[in-house]
Amino acid sequence: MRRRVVVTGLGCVTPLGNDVERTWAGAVAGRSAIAPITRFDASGFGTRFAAEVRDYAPPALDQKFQRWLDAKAGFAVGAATEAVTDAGLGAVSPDRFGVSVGAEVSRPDLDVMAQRLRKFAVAGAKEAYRALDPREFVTVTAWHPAALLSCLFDARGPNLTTSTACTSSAQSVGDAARVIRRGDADVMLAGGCDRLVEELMVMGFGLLGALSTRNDEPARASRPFDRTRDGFVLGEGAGFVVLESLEHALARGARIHAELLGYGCSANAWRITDSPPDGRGARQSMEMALRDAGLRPDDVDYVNAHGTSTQQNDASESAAIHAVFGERRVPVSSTKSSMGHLVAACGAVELILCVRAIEAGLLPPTAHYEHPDPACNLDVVPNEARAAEVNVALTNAFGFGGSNGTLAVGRYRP
Amino acid sequence: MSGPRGVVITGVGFVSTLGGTSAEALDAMLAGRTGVAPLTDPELEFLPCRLGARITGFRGQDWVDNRKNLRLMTPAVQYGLAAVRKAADAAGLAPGVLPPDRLGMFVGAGTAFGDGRELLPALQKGIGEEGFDVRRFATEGVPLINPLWLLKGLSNNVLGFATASLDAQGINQNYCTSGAGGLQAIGEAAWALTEGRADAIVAGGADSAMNPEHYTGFARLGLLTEGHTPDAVRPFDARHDGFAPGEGAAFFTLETEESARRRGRPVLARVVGFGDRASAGTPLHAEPESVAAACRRAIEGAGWTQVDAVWAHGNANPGFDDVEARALREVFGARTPPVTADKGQLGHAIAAAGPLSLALALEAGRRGVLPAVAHLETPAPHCAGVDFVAGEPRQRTLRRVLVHAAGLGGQTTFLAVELPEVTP
Repeated sequence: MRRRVVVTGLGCVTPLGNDVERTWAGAVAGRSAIAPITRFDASGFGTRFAAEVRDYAPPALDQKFQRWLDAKAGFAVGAATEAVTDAGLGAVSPDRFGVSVGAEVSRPDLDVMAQRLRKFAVAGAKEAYRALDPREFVTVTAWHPAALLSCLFDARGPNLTTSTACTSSAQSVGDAARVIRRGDADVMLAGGCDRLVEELMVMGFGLLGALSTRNDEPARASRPFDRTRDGFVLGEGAGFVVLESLEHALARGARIHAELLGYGCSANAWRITDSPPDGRGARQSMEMALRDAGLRPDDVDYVNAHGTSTQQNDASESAAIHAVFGERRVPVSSTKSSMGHLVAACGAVELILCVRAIEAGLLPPTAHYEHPDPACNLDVVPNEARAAEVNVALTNAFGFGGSNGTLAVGRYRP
Repeated sequence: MSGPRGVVITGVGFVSTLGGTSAEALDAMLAGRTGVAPLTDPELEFLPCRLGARITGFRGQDWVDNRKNLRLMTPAVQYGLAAVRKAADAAGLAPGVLPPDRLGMFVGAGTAFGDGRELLPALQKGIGEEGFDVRRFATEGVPLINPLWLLKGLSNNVLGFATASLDAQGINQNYCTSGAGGLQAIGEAAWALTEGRADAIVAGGADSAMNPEHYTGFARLGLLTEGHTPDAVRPFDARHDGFAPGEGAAFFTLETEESARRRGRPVLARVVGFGDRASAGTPLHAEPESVAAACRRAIEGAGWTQVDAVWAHGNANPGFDDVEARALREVFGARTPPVTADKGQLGHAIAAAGPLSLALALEAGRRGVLPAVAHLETPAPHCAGVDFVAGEPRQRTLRRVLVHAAGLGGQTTFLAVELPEVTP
């Protein structure tokens, strides 16, 4: 019999708030965290708004770690610390404690690049080279947050970093569950982090035409499944969960939030930036998660959609949901309507919202929903949170490169 | 605790500085040739290291379905696509041979720095007398940039393009875990097959450190050799002083035993053990205890009482050579199995390094010969007590082989493979 995996700790840092309760409260209220960009002068870009993490200071660390803390890892450390604290994790055997993170390589600030170019021009290549901080070569990497977390929490088990763009942290959590099931760890700290409100990201996604340009109405710009949606809104932050084998959680008397029931993962095998219109890959991913969990579509009470607010994603995801659930109108909402798109962190943060939905008996709404789209004929839980008993929830994440991930989470029943 | 079960390798795809097949590369290694050579690139003139193991004569256009996509592909991505295609062809995996949703792909990929040079003209627009003007960059610089700029810097481009090329719609992964990524991809793919999540998974790694970003970063971290001759990379030798950057890709068709039997494909090897651990301490620290724990986990999973050879990470960094040698002594005691390493001749291809070593190990097993650790003359004092293959290749029956790959962030990964019996 395969080992059961439970969720015993939750933590997040998001544009809606720098912990789980504020994030959950914001999502339930459908409050928008999207506003004009304050981090840099965005006045020359086609998109001038985003969902920034605000008023955030990462936990103070020992000096030997503090020097390794960049913005991206800073989000991860905050969310992971909340999750570990929430789990009440005492001493865990380091060899049985692993880390699985969804993250991406960081892009340098333009200021830094410009300073470097100037140094190069004025003082020459050799001096510019000597002036480089070697730590920067480490902190930009995708794997740095996972390496730092293994140090902070003395987690010397499997250490994985997944980089599949927007799908990263759905897969990193899925991997963590697989590692526990096969017996390679008892506890995994799993999640994702991303920092996206940066010049080169606003530029790069803007050039691809993927971002909303609703500059006159930023707070209402992320409108998943609405006919007038015009692109996604960059967000940032981190989400982490503590996953444990049920055995380990029970042995230490842990409070169990929910059970991680299944993981599905597929590839569109299509094109880098979009998915097949029939939603094939998304459907396969949801079906695989259900099969892995031993569930039928009728068992699902809520779907937290990927729902990016791009024309293409929302239509193909809707097609996939129809293909999986048939005539039944399962409630589906996209919390990206409130907090924007956290890219490598979205899968983990949205899993946490599913866990809170199960615990609170409340579905967070799709905010800013005004104009029904026949291509997205779903019950999107429009604008108002809804009381509902949730025993099983799915969360979807789909990304550039064509990877799709779905996690199935359910009420824990002994 | 068991390891992966019922997982076989039915195809190998290889792209390296020493040739486009593992047989060709092993021939070169046995003949004492090295891919490490002095570089004359003006971009590297100011660096203490100007050695590298570069791939020459590779034609990306031979391996992509749509040549228009080539401009979105870094060299590492092109190597990856070539190696994936070779691994699939070698296993007879044309599209449609397996149900698409039962064919997966797991990739270990490098740090995708994007193309900073493409940004230069736009950045210049933003540089003024009073510092950097983001608004001028946005209005005057951005229109100079290729609208697809972001796509070239995606971390998962091998995965994205190769799944489309093979119509592989099943479970997939892209690990970016420094030098451990490629071997993690293979180990995790083996487990995914054991779990019944696919019938076959093409898994491996692709990377290139042959760019100014990697050279400057590794050099500033003090990881590169400062030697100037092709024999400067000397794993475990008393004169070891760092590695030379390299590049390449190796992928494997991993398949359930049942699928291989059904398709009548010969078994090249079995993946039977996988150990994956991290060091703690500080982010760049590597600990012998963690390396030893990963090694023990792989052996335990395989259920072995004997190991015929270890293909070490051997990156010629004095600190890490010491850690690796200590770990091997800790696991095996006074009598270690024969240990070899390939970075003296292949350079360090980072995420591809482990998969390249695995491919070479399979070929070495087929021939019953272990190549020597290149340029190892006198083991460093800290590395003593390990049975390194030095000087001459060693004839040896190789049934049970361990391959090690490690990452800069303290990641350490061992894969245990069983090879068909060959009498040397």
